[in-house]
Amino acid sequence: MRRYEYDYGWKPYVPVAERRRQAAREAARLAKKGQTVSPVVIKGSKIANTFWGKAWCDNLERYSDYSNRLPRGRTYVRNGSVVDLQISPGAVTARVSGSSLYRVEVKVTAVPKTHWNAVCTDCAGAIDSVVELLEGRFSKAVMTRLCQEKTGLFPRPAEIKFKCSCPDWASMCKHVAAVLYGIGARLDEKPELLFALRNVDRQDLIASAGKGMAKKRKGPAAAKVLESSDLSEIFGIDIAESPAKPGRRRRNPK
Amino acid sequence: MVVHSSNTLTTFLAPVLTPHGRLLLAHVEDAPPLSPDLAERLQEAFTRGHGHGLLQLGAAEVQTAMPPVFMYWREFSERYVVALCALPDVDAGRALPPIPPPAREELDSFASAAPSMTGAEYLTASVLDTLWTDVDAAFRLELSQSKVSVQDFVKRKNPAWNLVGRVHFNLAENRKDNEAPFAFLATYTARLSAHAKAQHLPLGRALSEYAGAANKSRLLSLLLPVKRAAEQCPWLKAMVDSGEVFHPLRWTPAEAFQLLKDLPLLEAAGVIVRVPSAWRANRPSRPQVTATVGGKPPSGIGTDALLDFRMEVTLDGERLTETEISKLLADSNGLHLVRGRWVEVDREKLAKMLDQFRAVEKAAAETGVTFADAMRMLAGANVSDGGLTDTAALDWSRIVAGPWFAETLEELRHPQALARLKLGDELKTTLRPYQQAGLCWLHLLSMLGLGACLADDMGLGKTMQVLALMLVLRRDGAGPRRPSLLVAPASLLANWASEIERFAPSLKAIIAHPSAMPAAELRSLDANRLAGVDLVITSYGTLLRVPELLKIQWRLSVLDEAQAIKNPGARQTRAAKQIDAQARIALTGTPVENRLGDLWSIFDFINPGLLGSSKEFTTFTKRLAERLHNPYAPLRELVRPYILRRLKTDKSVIADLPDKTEVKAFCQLTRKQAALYQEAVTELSDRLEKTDGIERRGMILAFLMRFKQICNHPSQWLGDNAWAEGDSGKLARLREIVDVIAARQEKVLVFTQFREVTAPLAAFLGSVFGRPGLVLHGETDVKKRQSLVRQFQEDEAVPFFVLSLKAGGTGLNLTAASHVVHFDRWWNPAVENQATDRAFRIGQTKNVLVQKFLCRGTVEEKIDALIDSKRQLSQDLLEGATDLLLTEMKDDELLKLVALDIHAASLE
Repeated sequence: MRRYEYDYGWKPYVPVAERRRQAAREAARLAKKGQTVSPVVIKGSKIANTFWGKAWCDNLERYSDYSNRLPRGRTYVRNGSVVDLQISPGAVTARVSGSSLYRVEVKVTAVPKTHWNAVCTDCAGAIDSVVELLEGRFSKAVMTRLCQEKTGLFPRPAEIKFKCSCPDWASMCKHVAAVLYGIGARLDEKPELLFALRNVDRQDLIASAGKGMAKKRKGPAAAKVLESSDLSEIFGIDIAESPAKPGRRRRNPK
Repeated sequence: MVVHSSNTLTTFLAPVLTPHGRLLLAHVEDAPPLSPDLAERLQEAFTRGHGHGLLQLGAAEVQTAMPPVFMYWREFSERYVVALCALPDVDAGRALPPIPPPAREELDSFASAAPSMTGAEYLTASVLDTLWTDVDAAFRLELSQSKVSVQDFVKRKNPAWNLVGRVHFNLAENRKDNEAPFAFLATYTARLSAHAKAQHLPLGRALSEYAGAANKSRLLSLLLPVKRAAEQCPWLKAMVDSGEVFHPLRWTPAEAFQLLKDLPLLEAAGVIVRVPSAWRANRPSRPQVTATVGGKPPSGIGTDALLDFRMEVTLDGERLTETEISKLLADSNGLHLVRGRWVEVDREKLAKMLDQFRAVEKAAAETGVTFADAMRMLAGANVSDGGLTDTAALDWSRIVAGPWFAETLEELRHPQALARLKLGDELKTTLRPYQQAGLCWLHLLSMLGLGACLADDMGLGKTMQVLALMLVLRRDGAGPRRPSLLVAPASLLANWASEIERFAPSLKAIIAHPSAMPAAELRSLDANRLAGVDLVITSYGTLLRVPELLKIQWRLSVLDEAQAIKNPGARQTRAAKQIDAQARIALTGTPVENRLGDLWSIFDFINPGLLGSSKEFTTFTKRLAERLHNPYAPLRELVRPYILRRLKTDKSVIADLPDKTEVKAFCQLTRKQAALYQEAVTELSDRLEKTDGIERRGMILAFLMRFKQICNHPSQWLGDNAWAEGDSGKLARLREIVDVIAARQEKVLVFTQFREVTAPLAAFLGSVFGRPGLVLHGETDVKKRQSLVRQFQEDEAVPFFVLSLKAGGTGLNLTAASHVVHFDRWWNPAVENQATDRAFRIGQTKNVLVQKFLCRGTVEEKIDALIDSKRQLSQDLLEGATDLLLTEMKDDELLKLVALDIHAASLE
């Protein structure tokens, strides 16, 4: 697919290759000044490859108010124009190389407490996500929950604010759009950055891992449960008397 | 893939068992490839010693894909690790209790299922026992170096080894509950009780105990298997989603059956499934279609002998009635109560097996089951269908040997229990007990018309056993008397002839070979001309050139050095397979079953059809290789009754053997040798007339030397440095012997009295072994001699040692060799014995085979006979050298002694 990029005659057309070179020069200049830069580098044809990275980008596209700026943003991020992108709690700062080097800031509000608690309970109660969390991975089960529309961790339009140092009059210029896509690409590699962005502690997810799993939901029908005083006898195994001795001691201090 | 060349090298590795029971990794030409990573890991471990190598296989590589031959060794080592895991509560720093090896019977059965590999013939229960000890030692060393607990050590090797911390699905019968006669409980084994039994916690309780972030690894070990299993089994997924899995449940037979069906999936996910302890083989009883074959002695003989076949349906060995069978076939699939126990019913499989077996029964009633069919059925090897009886069929059907068949197979496998055959005085020697057993075994097979492969070690007397068999068959023969045909390499014909003269002179044997019989006579051989002849001896070459031999009906056909027919495409192989005989015997000292292709070709001769066609056999062995456990067991089972191999090291044999066995190896002169020899005789006779006194004596000694040199090799006399193999009968004989020694990975000492022969001999032997050996002669630096000896003793890779007699004769200890060849003779038994004794000094535990080379029809044979006759007169006379004695002889006596008996000498 080939696009012709004209800036409505305001600026002369800059070919893609030239943009790439310019972005690389800017990045090198920043690095030379001793700044730690973290450019967004897109390999291949897709901005994001994981389903959550893609989900982030899809989520952006639901911001229908800005639909005319998003395609530009995609082009910019692909060209390597986002020469630096840093995610910190609740905020993203980035520098984008356009006609000159612009500074973009994105602020995201923290996830409401009740909303986050619901996420934690769901993750701790489902075997797939608990196993992932215990293994220290954020993959399918956990990320599916985190990426859920509305109940997940992606910000709604009202929860996100941005500004850019460019002269464009629109509140979402192509530079902002490029940065938003850049976040998607960044999440691809480091899904845990989503927690920082929404200002929540991911340790909360695992704190109650496994709790309620046995008792939650409907449970078996009463008629299905085997009522027996002696499971050892029926199953021919040695069943441990007390599973949690320390706990019991605490309850009976005297 | 940077270092490609070295990678491709390392991937063709296979385990090799040395005669000393050492397991090595070696480059084997046609080994199935290993992944480079695995090859590297294994090489590293095996370099530390076979104990470490095995430990790597059994502890760390439990989930790695590998060729079957490695899987066999992994399975062995896994048993050790399992034993390790069953130890109660072993923590770091605490003394590790001993880990006893498996019972002898278990080791025996393990050894008998050996895979095809170099050295498989050395695999015995005691070798396995030693390997177990070495794995144990390697483990203890690695454990102390790692400074962690046994549990962590094993887990670190492979996470699959979890001593505790496993999820169990317990299934029980609950007979009190009519509606739901089964009960289910998921548990987690958190620790071991004081009695070293696993203590279970119901899964729900365990989960609440470990919930939260504090017990991450515990919680994970509990949830991970359940999660993996739920991904595979939808019913379990539903139970997990609803939380049912955390409660003790009442189950219907259908629910219990569901779990049993998915048992392999559950186990693969890491869940341990416990079924009611009354169930055998961890599953409910199954009705089995049971066939009994060979209840009565067969009609007819050979692999075509017909056996009876009977079929019934049994449940745990109890015969089911027709009504019960039809009820089973009418029931739905699943668990049903039959005769008070839970029985798994699979209508389709049961019906299919019933149909198959009824078809065989019907065919058996009409045409009968052949011995070969029956053997294949019993071994579960359906060779001609290109595969195995599939495992599903094995679960639902069973084939057992009826009384007659079972007894016959038992006799074939354990011939030492057979009643002794009386031989009378026709055999001029006494058979040792194991030779008696071999004779009975050969006799039983030949009476059944079946083929035999006698694969005893060199020197154990295969010849004697075959000659005894011929005597017995001639004595007991009913019907028309038929001669037997023996095919041997040309270089061995003389040997056979002289063995017959010595040990079975009453056998009328003729040599069908151009050297012994005019071509026209050869071509006119037929049944009439052979009337009264017991044995015709011929060479593989003659068999090709005289097709008349293939038209005669023989009693036995015997192939000596049967590895000659290991190549199925070779012309001599095809000719040998066309021999028309009532029973066939292959003699070989090479372990033929170590290469599947060789095994097939030899069996295609002795029992054609047993292993199917070459193509069928290839498909069959491919299918075998895919089996998870003991891949080659069905093949071993199939061929075992027809192979008899006794090693010199067998406890049952060694007791019957002296420390050394001395045999004479007769060689023929080549045409070139014969011509040179004749020339020398003529010259000697001329010169004898013209000389006397001291001069005569010196001249005679010089001529004796010249005869000896010509007998060794024309090049030794001519000094032309050519040393072509085809010019010397002794080299041809040496190759026959050394081929077998090389295949057995044994070592040989070769003595000669001529220093100039040592280098050409070493070059020749190096080419046969494919590896260099050592040379020691009078000019070898005395300081270097001890290091050569040490090298020969300690380095398993050094296959031979050539010594000139005077140098090698004294002060050297060479007990690593189990073979001694005297390439030429000193004519002084004392010196010869002293040399031979190098190989069986104190410390030698194996029998040593000593072969003394003699050229037939030459002065070598005559002086040997002279020494033998004198030996009987007086030992003292022999202390001096015989050749000095010869100088005292009269001219005509001397000439008679050295004259060439062209008839005996040359077989070209």
